[in-house]
Amino acid sequence: MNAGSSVGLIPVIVTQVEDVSPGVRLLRLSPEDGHYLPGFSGGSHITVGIDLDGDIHLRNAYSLMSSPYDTSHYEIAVRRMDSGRGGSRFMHRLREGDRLGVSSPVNLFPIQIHGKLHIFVAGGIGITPLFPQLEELERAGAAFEAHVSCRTSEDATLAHRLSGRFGSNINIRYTSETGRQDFAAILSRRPLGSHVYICGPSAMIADVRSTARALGWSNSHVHYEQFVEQKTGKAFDLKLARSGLTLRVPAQVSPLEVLEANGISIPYLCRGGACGQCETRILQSDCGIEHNDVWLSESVKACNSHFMPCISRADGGVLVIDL
Amino acid sequence: MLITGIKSRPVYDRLTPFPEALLHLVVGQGSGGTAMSRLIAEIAPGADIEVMYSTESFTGQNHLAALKDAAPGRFDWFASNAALSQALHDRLSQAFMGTRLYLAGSESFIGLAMKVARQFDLNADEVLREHCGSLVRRVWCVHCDTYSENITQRVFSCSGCGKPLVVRDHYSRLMGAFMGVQGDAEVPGELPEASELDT
Amino acid sequence: MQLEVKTDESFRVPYRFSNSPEALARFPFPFPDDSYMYSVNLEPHVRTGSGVFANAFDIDEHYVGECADRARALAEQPGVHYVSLPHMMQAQWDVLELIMESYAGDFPQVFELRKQGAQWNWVNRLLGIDDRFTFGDPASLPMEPFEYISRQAQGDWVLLEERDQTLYIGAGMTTERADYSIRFDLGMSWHEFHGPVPLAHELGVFDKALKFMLRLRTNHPVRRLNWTTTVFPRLETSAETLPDWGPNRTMVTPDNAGETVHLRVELQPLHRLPRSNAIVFPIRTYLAPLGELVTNPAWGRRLYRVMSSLHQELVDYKGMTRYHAAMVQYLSRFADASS
Repeated sequence: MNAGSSVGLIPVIVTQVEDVSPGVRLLRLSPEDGHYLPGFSGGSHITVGIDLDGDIHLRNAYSLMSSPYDTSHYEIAVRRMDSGRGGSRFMHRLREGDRLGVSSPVNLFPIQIHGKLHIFVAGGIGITPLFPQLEELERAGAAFEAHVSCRTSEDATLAHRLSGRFGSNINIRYTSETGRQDFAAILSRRPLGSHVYICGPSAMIADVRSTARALGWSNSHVHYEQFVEQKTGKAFDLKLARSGLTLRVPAQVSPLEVLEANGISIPYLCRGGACGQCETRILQSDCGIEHNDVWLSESVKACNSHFMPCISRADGGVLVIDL
Repeated sequence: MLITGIKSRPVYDRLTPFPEALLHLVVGQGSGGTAMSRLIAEIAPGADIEVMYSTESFTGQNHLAALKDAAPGRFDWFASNAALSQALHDRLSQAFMGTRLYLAGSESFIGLAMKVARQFDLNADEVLREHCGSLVRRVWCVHCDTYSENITQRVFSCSGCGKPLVVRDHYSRLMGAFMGVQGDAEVPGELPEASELDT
Repeated sequence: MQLEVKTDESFRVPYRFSNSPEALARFPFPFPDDSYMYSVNLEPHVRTGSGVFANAFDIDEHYVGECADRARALAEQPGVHYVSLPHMMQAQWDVLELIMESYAGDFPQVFELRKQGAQWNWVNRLLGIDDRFTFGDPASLPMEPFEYISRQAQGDWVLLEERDQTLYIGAGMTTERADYSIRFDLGMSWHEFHGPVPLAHELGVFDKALKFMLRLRTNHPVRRLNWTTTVFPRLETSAETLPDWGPNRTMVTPDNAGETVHLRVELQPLHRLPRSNAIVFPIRTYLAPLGELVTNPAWGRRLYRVMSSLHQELVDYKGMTRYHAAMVQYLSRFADASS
């Protein structure tokens, strides 16, 4: 029997809903017990348990954008993805008073506290972690600047909030009017000890990284976090060799989510195939494996000895794993 | 013998060019001159190279003339490690991302220069350190907070408090020094056998 | 737990220290086997029973005496026992919050924490403290937040910063440290500050433990036990003051080892800190003279077996070289005790 998506999660209530721009909704989540939620640092994300019709249980990751110094609530921004698995559409149907489960925050995108200058390059919904990150830097008296790309001025509500809060350190550029940011200009002749943080779509991450490399920036000064969009695939059966259990993995649910919904917890952090925590051994398969992670080496992927259940899946049939 | 089997010592690199660097800052002291000349010859022609050298040396090694010839661009030299470290600080505060730092010389010198580099948040992928010459040690007295330079013996007399110190094989990167503790703390006068450090 | 706290203890000459039967009964005896070697002995720090694992951070009858001993060490040698690098301020607030919330939650009869947004009121009845301050504002406390709270917290506390896939010592309040210098170890990486430990590197213990530590998550602490021995109930056994306590090692005989030699057990409940992503490494020390421990026949028998078979490199590293034989001779009297 499925226990649902909320096993082991912190119960919260939606206490405020605000649609800030076309397709982007802010949600304020307050603890059900009226106390305080776990503390976090700027750049952290939480995962939200999502229950869809037909016994489908997902978990989506969202960056926290509220203040790290006030944990009476969390705030997240959700962009609606009409072609996705249905998680963001579910989040856009929520109303004040609805209940959810959220994980403890995890930070895979922390501020580098030894840095001398912190440069943020952000685009789209990627702007959200900047709110707590810049607040931390401001409190520490550290030097920072942010270069935010928006498609149009209608699209720029969050960017304007950021600039209202942090003033002249924020540079907003409307890419539909003036073209994309000149990353080389942003990264040229910057003082030693500068760090760049890239928060945006994968094309932006790739551009900024290659520009930084060409300008002699070392990897330890270039930071980015990529939320991989969960792809839907084919349904398949997941057989757990140690317990003998067989679980059905529906087309739009990840193997990790299915395990969690059945009360089986395995380590995870990023849920995007990058951190390596959930690496699992494959014992037997009568199907192909879609490896969507960046963690395993190409040779491991080729021999299908392991896979990352947070993001990768079988393309039908039965997959026997060492759990 | 109380101090046995403690294993730790900084692991140094061999200087080789960082191909992606916009500026190669080659900095060294005494015996480090040979490693500096070798490195400069390996850096692709036309690259931006600046050289800083201190002639202070425990072993009397001086490569000033050879380095002057090898340096293709700016060359500065200093009579002491302290003067060089001040100049390094000034240079790094004007430098940009894309700079790579190469250090060559005694352990004490490298420790001093790394202290400066850390102030500018230079990481392992931006600095290389090659140890050259004798492994004489800089030793910090845990009892009186004094540094003794160029120590070659396992047991020596602290230059601050005069206590007979035993050198522990334990190195602090922040201090750029090994630790010295009183060798006869249990029974006055009963010291570990005198021996050469692995210099 | 009903907390009976002693108020007249001394961890310096003249020593006044003993364990009540209740304290001895909950002593975290660290030897599960008849022989000892380093291992990755980390386990989830879940609350268990009514002993030392019942609370996030345990305090006991020695709380007041230990806090007084800490205050004395800090006053006698400023800058020697408490250190913090400038970038650790966020971690300092984290650990203040964690200790205050844990103490107030686990020992509500003696500690109280009231929050009104960022305005906090902290009450410590054991030390007679009632302070108001603004969380996050260092100017609202009489000293740095980490020093403030660790002066009121039993055991040593070290803060580790995570960077480049390892952990660096960023701060420490260590008035009970066993023969090291926190000033010297400041800024060292995991493998560097464990450098002096013999045998364990070769066993891969530190590599495995570091991997485990890097995976540590907020609200999922782990714990381990470590141990050493000290002659007399002296907590402050730093490298700096070795000349003060080193001579004690020559004073042990088979006849007095029961009173002079103290087993020193360190409970280390490691927590990931939420804002700084740092890890707090508490070293909560429990002392007991061998004479108290052997009143439990099973412990006496095991102590004999562990100590008599201890690897010579561990004997040396733990500073027992001079009195190991006398201690083992004393313990041999309990080798065959039946329980």
